This record gives sequence, C-alpha cells and structure tokens, in this order.
Amino acid sequence: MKKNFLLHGAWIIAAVLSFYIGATFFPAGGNDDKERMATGVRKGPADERGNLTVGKGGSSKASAKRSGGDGVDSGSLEVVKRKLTDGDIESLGEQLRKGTNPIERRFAFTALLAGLTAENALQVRKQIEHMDHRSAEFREFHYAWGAVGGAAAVMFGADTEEDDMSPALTGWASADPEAALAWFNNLDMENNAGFDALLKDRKIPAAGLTGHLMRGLVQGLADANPDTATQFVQDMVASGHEGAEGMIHIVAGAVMRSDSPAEAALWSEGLPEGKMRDMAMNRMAGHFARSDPEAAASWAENFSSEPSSAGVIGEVGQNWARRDAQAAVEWLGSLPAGNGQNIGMHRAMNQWAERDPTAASEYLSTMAASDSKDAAVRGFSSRLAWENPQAAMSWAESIGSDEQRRNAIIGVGRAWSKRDAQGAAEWMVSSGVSEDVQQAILNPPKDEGDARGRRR
Amino acid sequence: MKNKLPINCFYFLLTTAMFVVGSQFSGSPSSASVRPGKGHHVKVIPPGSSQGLSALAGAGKPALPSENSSSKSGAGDNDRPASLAVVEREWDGKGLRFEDFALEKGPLSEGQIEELVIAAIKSSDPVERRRAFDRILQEMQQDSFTVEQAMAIRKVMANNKASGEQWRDFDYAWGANDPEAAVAYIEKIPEQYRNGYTGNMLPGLASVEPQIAIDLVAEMEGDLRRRMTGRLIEGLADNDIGVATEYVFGLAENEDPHATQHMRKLAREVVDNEGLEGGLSWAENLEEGPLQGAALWQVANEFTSEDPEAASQWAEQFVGQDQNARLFGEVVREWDDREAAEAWVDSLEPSQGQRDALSAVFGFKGANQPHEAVQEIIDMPVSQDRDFAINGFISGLASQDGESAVIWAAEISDPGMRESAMIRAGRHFFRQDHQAAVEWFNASGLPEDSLSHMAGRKPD
Repeated sequence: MKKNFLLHGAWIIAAVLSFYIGATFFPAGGNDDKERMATGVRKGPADERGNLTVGKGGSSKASAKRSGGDGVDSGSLEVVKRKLTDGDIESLGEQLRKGTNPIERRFAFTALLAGLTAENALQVRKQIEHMDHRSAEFREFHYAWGAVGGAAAVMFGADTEEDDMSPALTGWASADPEAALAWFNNLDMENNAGFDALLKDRKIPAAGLTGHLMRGLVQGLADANPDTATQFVQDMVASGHEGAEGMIHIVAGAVMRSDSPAEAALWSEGLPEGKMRDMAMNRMAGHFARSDPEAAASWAENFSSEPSSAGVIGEVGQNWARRDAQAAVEWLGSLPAGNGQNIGMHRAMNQWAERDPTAASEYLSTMAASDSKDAAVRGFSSRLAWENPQAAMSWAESIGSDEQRRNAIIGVGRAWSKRDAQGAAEWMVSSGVSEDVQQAILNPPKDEGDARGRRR
Repeated sequence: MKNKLPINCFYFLLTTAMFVVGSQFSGSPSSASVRPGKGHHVKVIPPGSSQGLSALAGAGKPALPSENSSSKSGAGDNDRPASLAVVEREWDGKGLRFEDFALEKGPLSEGQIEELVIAAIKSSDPVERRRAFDRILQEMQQDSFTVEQAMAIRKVMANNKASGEQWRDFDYAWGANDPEAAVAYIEKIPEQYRNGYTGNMLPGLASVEPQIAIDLVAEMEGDLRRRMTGRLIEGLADNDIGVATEYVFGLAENEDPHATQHMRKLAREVVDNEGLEGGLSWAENLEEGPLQGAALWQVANEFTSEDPEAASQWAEQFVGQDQNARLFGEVVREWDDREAAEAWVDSLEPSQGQRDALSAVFGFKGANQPHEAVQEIIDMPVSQDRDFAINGFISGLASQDGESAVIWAAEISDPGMRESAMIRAGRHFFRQDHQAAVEWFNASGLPEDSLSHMAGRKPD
C-alpha cells in the first residue's frame, strides 16, 4: 500500500515537473514568435544566393498573373528575425532602389528597418542614402537607428550634409527618454570636437543647432509621453530659451495624432496658464472644430470670457464657418461680448464672404451696431476686396468704430491697389480719405508682402 | 507487476500530456497587450469614440529595457567618441505585438483590421505605423482577401483620417491584387472621391493588367484623361518599360498634344525603376524625334542633379541635334555651380542646344542678377543668341517685374519667339498690375485672343 502511494506520488511529481519544463523551456511557438516579426520579409525559398527577398505572396491573385515577370521571391511575407547578413542588406537595398512597384519597395524598406542594429546601421544607411533627406523613409531610418544606436546614431549626423541628427535624436528620445534628455542637457558643443564639422566648417551657429536638436528631442519625448515633453518645454521656457513656447506645437501634434480631438482639447486645457497653453489651445480648437464644430463650440464656450483665450473662439468660428457659416456666426452672436467674439466674427465672416458673399452681406445687414458687427464687417470686406473692391469699400466705410473703420479702409484700399491700381487711385481722389490713410494704402509695410509670401 | 503496467502507462501519458499542455499554455498571447500605447495625461471618453481608440489612447508605452538604455548611452556620451556610445538594443516597436497578426494565423478579422489600421494612423512611433500598414498591405496579397475586408479597411482609414500616402498605397495594392473588385469600385465610390481613387488605383491596375488600365483611360476625356494618363504610365512602367514606351509612342501617333509631357513622366519612372544608368541607356536608344528629345531632356535633369560635370560631358554628344536642344538648358538649370555652368555654355559650339543653354543662363540671371544681365544683353549684337538670351532673361525677371519683362520681350527680333515671350511675361504683368497691363496690352499689337491667356487669373 505504502509502495503504491510512493509510485503515485512520484508520477504526479513527474507530471507537474513535466508541465513546468514544457511551459518554461519549450513554449509553443515561443521561439518562433519571438523571432518572427510580421514585417513583410522572409528568407526567400527560391533565392539560391541565400539573400532575403520581399515580394508578393505566391498564391496571390495578381502575382499569379505576374509570376516570373519580376524576379521577386514569391514566398509569403514573414521575416525570420535574425541578423541581416551583408548580402541580405545589399539585396534588400537593391529591391528598395529598383523594386518594380511601390509596395515592393516599401516592404524592402521595412525589412531593412526590422533587421536594423547598431552594428549594421551604417551598411543599411548606404541603401537609403539615395533618398531625399526630407523623405519619410530617410527620417524613419534615422529614427529607428536613434532608437537602437542612441548617441552614436545622433553624432553620425554631425559629419553629413543631410538633416539626420534630429530624427535620430527623436528616435532615441522616443525609446529611451531619460538617456536622450541627459545627453542633450550635457551637450557642450563648442568644446566637443564631434561638432566641429558643423560649427567650425559649416559655420552653423551653436544656438541654431541646439534649437534644431531640441525640436527633434521634443518630438521624441512627445512620442514616448507628451507629459514628459510638455515638462521639458516648460523647463526650457522657464530657463528663458528663445522660442521654446512654440515647441508646444510639436507636443500638440503628437497628441492630435494619437488622441481624439476632444481628448486633445482637454489636454491643452490642462496645461499651465500662459502663452504656451494659449498656443496649444488655439491649435486644438481649430483641430477640434474641423472635426466636430458643435462639440468644439461647446468646449470653447468655457473660455469665452477669458481674454487670453480669444484665439480659441476665433479658431472655432473660422473653422465652423468653412462648413456652415451661418451656424458659426449665430453661435458667435450668442457669446458674451468681447475680444473672442470679435475675432471669431472677423474670421467667420471672412470665410463666409469667400463662399457666399451675398448671403453674408444679407446677414450683416440684419446685425445691430456693435463691436462684433464692426469686426464682422471688417472680416467680410477684407475678403470681398479681392473680388469686388468697390462694394468692399462701401462696407468698410460703414464701420462704426473710427479705428476699426480706418484699418478696414486701409486693408481694402491695399487689396484694391494690387488688383486695379488705377481704380484704387481714382477712388482715393474722389473719396476724400485723409492723406495719412492714402499714404498707408500706397505704402504697405514691407514685411506684409513677406508674410504673404511665407504663407503661400 | 502486471497490475502496475497500466498504471505506469497511464502516468507516462499523463506526464507527456502535461508537458504538451505546459508548452502550449505559456505560448498563448495576451489580447490585452495588442494596443500601441503611451502613458499619459488626462483621459476622457469623447462622444462617439470607439473602444479601440480609447484603449489606444490610454495604454502605456514601454520604453526599451532599462539595462540597455541610460546606463550605457546616457549622460556624457557626447564627450566620448561616437563609436563608444553604440548600445546593444534591438528595435521591436513599442506597442503592437505583431506576432499576434502573423500571416500564419489566418485572415485578419474585422477587429484586427481596425486595430492595425488605427495603429498605422495613430501610433506615436513612425516605424510601428509603417509596420502596421505593411501588414494590411500583406493581407491584400492573400488569396483569402475579400472585398468585405477591403471595405472594412477603407472605412477605418476614412474614419481615422489616413494619410494621402496610405491611401495611395492601399488603392495601388487593391488595383494590383484584386483588379476586378478595384475597377468595379470606381462606380460605387462617392463622386467627390472618384478621381482621387481612380488615380491611385490605376497604376496598381496597370502594373498587372495593362490593357484593362489602358482601356479604362481611353474611355476618359479632357483634362481627366490627361491626368490619368500620367498615372497609367506609372503603372505601365511598373509592369514593363517596353509596354509603357510603346504606349507613349502610340499616344504621339494618335496626335495626343501631351505626348512629350507623358514621355518626360515615363523617363522619370524609368530612372526611378532602372536607375540613372538604365534611364540613360533607355533614352539614348529610343527612336530619334521629339519623344526622344523629351526623354533625354528629363534624364538630363536627373543626371545633372546627381553629377553635373558628368552630365555636361554626356550632353555634348547631342550638340547639333536640334530636337534634343532642350536638354542643354536643363543641364544649366539643374547645375548648382553657376560659374561652371556658364563656362560650359561658353565652351559649346554654336548650335540650337548652345542657345537653349544660353537662355537658361540668362533665366537665372534675370531672377538673381538682372542689372548684370541687362548690361550683357545690351552689349550683344542683334542675333539669334541675343534673342535666346532675352527669352531666358524675361523668364527669370517676369515674376518680379512683369512691366520690365514685357518691354524686354518686345526686343526679341524673331516674331514667333517675341510674341510667345510677350504673352509669357504679360501673364505676370497682369497679375502684378492689372490696370497697367491692360494699357500695355492695348498698345502691344498682340492678337486679341492672347488676352485671355494673360488676364485669366485673379490676384494671389
């Protein structure tokens, strides 16, 4: 009896151990799963040279029609994750350069990224160096290299012509924010020979290069965690770094990509008060309104009496007006009087004038005299000036506020002069506008043209 | 003993089974880990947001293992030689477990499609976005791929605002992998998206079914046909350069007014697909005539941007071939060393090509050194060279000073060249000062119908 008990016990222990050994050392597909990445490449069975190839699935409808036509492996699209050999890299590079269709080239590029290591990065880079450094592929390669190579990947760019330091730092910061931040914070470019090619040979100002790298860093931090990126931007603002507030746009872009417009708007609202928050909220307001103007308007109403958030109302008004100008203007009319309402009216009416000037002018006629009507007329007339300067000028002249009226007349006059200099000159003679207004029309500030050029 | 044999057999089988169960148990993936993610901030559930999207927004994004990170590549690395800062890390993406979407696991479900497409659009990691979308494109190559899957992908792409590049790749892949369904969809897609879709899908279709694609474009008319022909040529080149070349020559035979433009497009595609050497060889071996001229013109552009010295030497073999004259101007325009370009033009023997190159030199000067250019033109005797110099000069000048450009255009002695130069410059003048341009036009002696070519646009 005792013997039987021992026998059963021994077998039960053996069974439990067996389960443990199976689970721990022989997980089903575990090695395969760890090694296999669905990146669009596997060892091509038909490739006698042993090179990796990418291409269509052998049984695909289209490839059946094309079989033998393009010399591409017809295996399925799996990658056996192992280190790419030199031959693999060359072969994939060849497919990237000469693949017969964009999808094949795309798969070859992804396969190169999938096999990228700090050791083979330079060889992989040779395969993509024909690409424009502004292309997504070029930047993504350096992003991935930064993620696996850290500082070495970033510093490689110090000796190249292309813009590759910034995306490498972005990738590094996205994968290892602490290390990338520490590296950046300890940068001493002037005393680091690694930067000589940039600072001394190419004479790039250190401040400009720092700003450039900082933008890459912020992007990577934002990719990893927008809160970290926001904190970094805040720190830069606090330390007086010029233009640092603007980098909140990079964080905002990352939040907009991953979150819904409503979530993104709430994120911006939660930022500490100040210029940075205003910039982020304005950006999010426009984004939100393009997606769901009514919901955006409900959100924006919370700030309608905050002077610093006037831009939020303006963004919602303008973007809503692109879809439904009358609804936008009616919403703006329901808001408390103030700068936000005025900016919104100006932008919404400007949009409406472009789309349907008749309906817009009819609506304007129904508005009671007020600051917001003046703003609305100014927005309307500034757009109408390019189509019908005489009518636009009549509207501008109807503005109640002296200052607003003067500014509107100057704006319309300048547009008129550009469109029809003689007509504008004749109007100036007959209108009796003051000499200073005439001069303002005839001599627009020089940077106005530049700004227009930049916008274009 | 006999009694124990069945017991031992039973336990042996049990032990074996436990081993198998153990190994299987540990391999099952966790569906909770399938989201791309990041750890951050305020989270709200917006009205109408999908479960997938909210999960995407909330999940944590792991950094790479810490033992591979700051301890090896952190502070102070910038002071060390770059090679010492290399760290041992592998790039595994950040959120999606791609093995859960492996091809071997069968066709993607609607839920998996949604997850992949959302990751492809919204992941914070560009490499992960690329890989997720690649998986979608791979799925499209499978025999099992259905129209329902295609529609599910399109729906998620539309709802989440996929990029233009993603639409281009998807539509191309659909045209290439399921031509019948992709062509049928032209009639089903809402009209406002139809041309965009057709333009994206057409090269994919042409890459596998050239004749169907050619027939499809042949049914189109006007500007749409011109635009779609360009997309068609892209796909034909993906299929076979020879087929594409024949097609473009066929357009010229049928007196398509845009045949040379299409040939330049094809030349770009050939260089893209075959490399510069392949492109040069292809262009040089085309039948002589205007189409070869257009192809050489385009490859000259690509060659010069890569190696201007070598391109200029290559171009000299075409001196004296009037139909290939425009490639000389292209070499000059693409050459970033202006002095070297001018010296090369001076060294060319007089020919149509040399004059075209001279025109390009003055085009640059008109935009950048107008006063110097004016002096040089004044010093030139009336000649064909002078006409070409002025013709180039006004091309550079007109965007800045249309009024001066029309005055200079009138100086050209060749009547045909003069008229077309005046119209070209006049177009800028009208944009810059409509009223003054009207007065100039009334006194210019240009034919009435040329007015519409110049005054058609509203101010920028």
